[in-house]
Amino acid sequence: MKVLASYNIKGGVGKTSTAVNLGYLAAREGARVLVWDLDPQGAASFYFRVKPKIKGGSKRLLRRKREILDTIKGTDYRNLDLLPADFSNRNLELVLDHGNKRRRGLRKIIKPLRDHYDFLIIDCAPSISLVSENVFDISDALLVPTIPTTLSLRTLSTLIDFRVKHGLSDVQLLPFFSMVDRRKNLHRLIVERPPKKLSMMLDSYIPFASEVEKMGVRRAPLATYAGHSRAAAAFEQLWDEVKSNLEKPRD
Amino acid sequence: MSWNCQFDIPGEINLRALIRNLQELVPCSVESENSLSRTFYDTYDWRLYASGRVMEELRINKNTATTYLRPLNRTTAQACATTTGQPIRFLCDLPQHDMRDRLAPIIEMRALLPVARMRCRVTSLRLLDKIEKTVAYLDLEENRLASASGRHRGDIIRRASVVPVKGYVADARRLARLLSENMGLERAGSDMLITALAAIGRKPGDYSSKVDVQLDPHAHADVAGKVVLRRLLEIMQANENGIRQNIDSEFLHDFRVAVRRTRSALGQFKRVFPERAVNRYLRDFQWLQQDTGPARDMDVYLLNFATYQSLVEPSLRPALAPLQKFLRQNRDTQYRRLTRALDSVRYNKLITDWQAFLDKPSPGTSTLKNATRPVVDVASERIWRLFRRAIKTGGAISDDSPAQELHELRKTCKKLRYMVEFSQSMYPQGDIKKLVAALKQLQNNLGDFNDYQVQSDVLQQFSEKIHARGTDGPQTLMAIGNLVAALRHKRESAREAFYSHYRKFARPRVAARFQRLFRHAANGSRDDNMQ
Ligand SMILES: Nc1ncnc2c1ncn2[C@@H]1O[C@H](COP(=O)(O)OP(=O)(O)OP(=O)(O)O)[C@@H](O)[C@H]1O
Ligand SMILES: [Mg+2]
Repeated sequence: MKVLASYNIKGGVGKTSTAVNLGYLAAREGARVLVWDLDPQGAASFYFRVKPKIKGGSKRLLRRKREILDTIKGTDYRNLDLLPADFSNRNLELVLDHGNKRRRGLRKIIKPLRDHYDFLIIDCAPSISLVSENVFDISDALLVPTIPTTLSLRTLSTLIDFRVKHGLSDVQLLPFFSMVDRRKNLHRLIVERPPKKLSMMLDSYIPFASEVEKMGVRRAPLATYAGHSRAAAAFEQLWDEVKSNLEKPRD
Repeated sequence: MSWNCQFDIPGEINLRALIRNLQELVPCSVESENSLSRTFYDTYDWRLYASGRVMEELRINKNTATTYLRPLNRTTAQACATTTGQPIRFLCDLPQHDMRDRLAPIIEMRALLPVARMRCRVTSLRLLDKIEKTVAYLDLEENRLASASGRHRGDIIRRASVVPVKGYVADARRLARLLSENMGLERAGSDMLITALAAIGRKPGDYSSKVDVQLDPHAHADVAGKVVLRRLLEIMQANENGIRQNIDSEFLHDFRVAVRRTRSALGQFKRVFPERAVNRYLRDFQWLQQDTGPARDMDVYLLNFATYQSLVEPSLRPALAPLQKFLRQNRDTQYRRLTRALDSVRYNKLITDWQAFLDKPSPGTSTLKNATRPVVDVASERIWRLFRRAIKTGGAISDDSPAQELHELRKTCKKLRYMVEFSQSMYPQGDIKKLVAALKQLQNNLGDFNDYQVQSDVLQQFSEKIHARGTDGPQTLMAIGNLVAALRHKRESAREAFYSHYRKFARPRVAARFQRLFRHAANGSRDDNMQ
């Protein structure tokens, strides 16, 4: 099972759209996929029309290992399941804090999932916290949607530094540009010539498109209602590039 | 989650009416109406069915198909894979997901073949909750079986299938209750695969390479012998087509095993059939076996290729590619030759004569010593004698023994194994199982020793041939050299392991079992001078 986290310290950059759409594309190919809605806001659960509440909350999830499997909900799509958000996700941090291996808490929790899924795709909340450190610990790659603005690039730099400083360089960093508006000069400039430090930036990017925004009304992955749009093609290309990066041998 | 919930839809029920009635009871929407073709797959020897699994492919058009693997009598899939274009034949045609991992140990090298096809119209309904989330599916299917000729004018099977969504099983149960209580549908009696096969007159498991004949212990040896030989001929004939069509390697394999068993049976049932006939058939079957050998060899080397690669230093692995190419070309040549052998006058005359020989009723009286003795006596005698020969040969093997002695022992064990298998129905099942298990261990060791020997020698020769063609670099010569050395090393390990395997086989418990089962009938036989 490969673990991918859609992550950015910043909010509103396209993390949830990435998790939902890539999860859908992976499942459509026949992979068994679980999207974990780890954001207390429950946006991913909303898109899949799954009630965000789970019995007992996250505290219970952490205590009773096997329970994670019973908490899973099937989505409207084959091979694609969801671990719903829960308001008490807010407590996740507290729960993790109590353990002795602070940064290893999630490892145990996801263990029972390994036999059942080919991909675990985590939709993270925007923050840097103990929870996110745990997410880094279990992830094979971080998908980092990044809006092409100077400020966003600075945030990305912070993330790169954080990863090195905390010895989390096992996790592959896969940043890509998101919500790219080619009518904006700055966007065009940055996408065409990203700073040198960001050599790991993927080639694929997601354009700013009203079809993506409509996900909130449709409550469904983009490809199910706008399969021929440019944005849908962009997500497909992104998914292909992510896959080939996962297959690359790491140095 | 394991789930089975299918209902038969009786012919008099109209599907539209059924949907309308349902929609009055629960919120549900028609998701899609699809025409597709459904094909059930299994290997020629029904490995999936034997393991309790069903594989079905649903094809929407030429380029899109989804293949599901599920337990027999269950409607929830264990794995599924989306494929495009080409139909699935071998494991390697499947995307590298769960499905492949699950199938690998079951079907191994065998090809997947269509066993039943149907045209299918599916109306899929979604049962919805308040926020229009799908909480269960209902597939209403109208399947029209394809007849053998492929035209879709066979029987119709109509079913309603409730498919649960994870985390919403209660809703699926509710739907199932509605169908049976409010709509009066009855649960389907058997898996769709079984129903479909029955409708086209096929039975799952209709081919097996096992010599599973039932012998009457008191039958005359010549009558019972023919039962065994007829079954072996049946196996040969069942595999001919697969060899000709080059479907997978196991058709030739099963064919050749049947030929070898035939020769072994002819040789073992001494003084049961007229000597002239025996000699003629022994000669002809030996020819057949030799003629089919080179093709099988190529199959073996190709099947082993992955193992060969793992035996070579990683840096040299790519250099084995010319060997693989050479083997593939050679295999094609040998298979063409093989088809010619099967089309030859000699082969066809052999099979016709052999069939006639087996069909000829046994005379009832005979001047041949063993022809009219009870088969159980003759079999016991042969088995007991082969066992003692194995013990004698095996016991004499030491570090100084030439490889030839192990080779002899290997052949004796093979004859012994065949005789035990032909005769298994006349002895207690449990005993036979234990003996075969003990024998198998030793045979595997002896087989390994022999295979490594032969393979290292032959690969060495191939290496020279490939080199002579001048198509490879020095790397290939080195890689094959590396492989040959590894195989020789494995041969030595097999040789060292021989003693422990032999001791296990020759242990008093096994010997006592052989004695108890087979010796009684052999008493008084003139060869019986060893106790
Ligand atoms: N490529 C895009 N084009 C246009 N709108 C987009 C695009 N991607 C996302 N959006 C919209 O922007 C908003 C934020 O997107 P999304 O929820 O995916 O980001 P997020 O990083 O998960 O946000 P949060 O930090 O709040 O979890 C949503 O309303 C979404 O519909
Ligand atoms: Mg989000």
